[in-house]
Amino acid sequence: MPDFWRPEIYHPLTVHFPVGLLTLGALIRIAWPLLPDRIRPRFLLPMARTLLGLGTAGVWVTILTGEWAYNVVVRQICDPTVLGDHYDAGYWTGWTFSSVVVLEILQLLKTEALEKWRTWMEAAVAILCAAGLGLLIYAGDLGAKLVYQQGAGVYHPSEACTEWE
Amino acid sequence: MKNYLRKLALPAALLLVGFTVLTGCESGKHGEGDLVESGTYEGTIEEVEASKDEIYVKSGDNTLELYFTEQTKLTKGGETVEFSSLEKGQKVEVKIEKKGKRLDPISVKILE
Repeated sequence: MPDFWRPEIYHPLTVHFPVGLLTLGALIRIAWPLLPDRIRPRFLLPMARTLLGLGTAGVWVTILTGEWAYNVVVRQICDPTVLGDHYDAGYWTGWTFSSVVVLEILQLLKTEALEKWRTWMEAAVAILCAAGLGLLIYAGDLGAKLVYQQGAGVYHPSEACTEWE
Repeated sequence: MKNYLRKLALPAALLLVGFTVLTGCESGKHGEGDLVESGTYEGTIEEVEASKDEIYVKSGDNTLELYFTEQTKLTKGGETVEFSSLEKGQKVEVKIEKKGKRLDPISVKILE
């Protein structure tokens, strides 16, 4: 039986945190401009921004671990084109949410020059969050296909399971 | 505290943009190679990705995306050579085995 801590193991270990953080953060951020003032809890916006910041940092960590996994599984799976699409979708997700974080940081600056762009930046954040969420789902779907259809990174025990005896 | 955070915001934004661009440069054209039948092909190396032990070979109308495995035999003038001997523009002869939609290079001969 191979060692558990193989290079391809770190990707599934790290990928689920940013997925959870970004999904919640993006959903709140998309809904935020639509919520009437009287039902906007004060903690919600900082919370969404924190989730998006941590989730985006997590995406780049996941992309790094994905690079390690890529080099192994591309030589094992039957259809590497799915891996190529997953790889590209991962990077696009990273770029999209990084753009969101940049816009959020710019909004925190509260300078006069940026003030007149505030409405546009709010709209851009919501649109980018929706796009990022779509990319996240697409990348996740391809990742699931890699694992559950092609067995990427999965150890296949012998038929008699003698490794556990 | 708020002012301090605001002072940090711009450098942080620039850092993030820089990091994103740098990481973005890493992503190449993965999974875009053409699928061909098992056999031997002659072509020219279009790209060498040393970090992935991967080469792209232009053979006729096809671009072959080849990931070296432990079994891949790389030779030049009949002698075994290291992956680092491969360069863009070299003429090569590759023997390929098609497995599903994956192309495994069995052997790569550097012709010049």
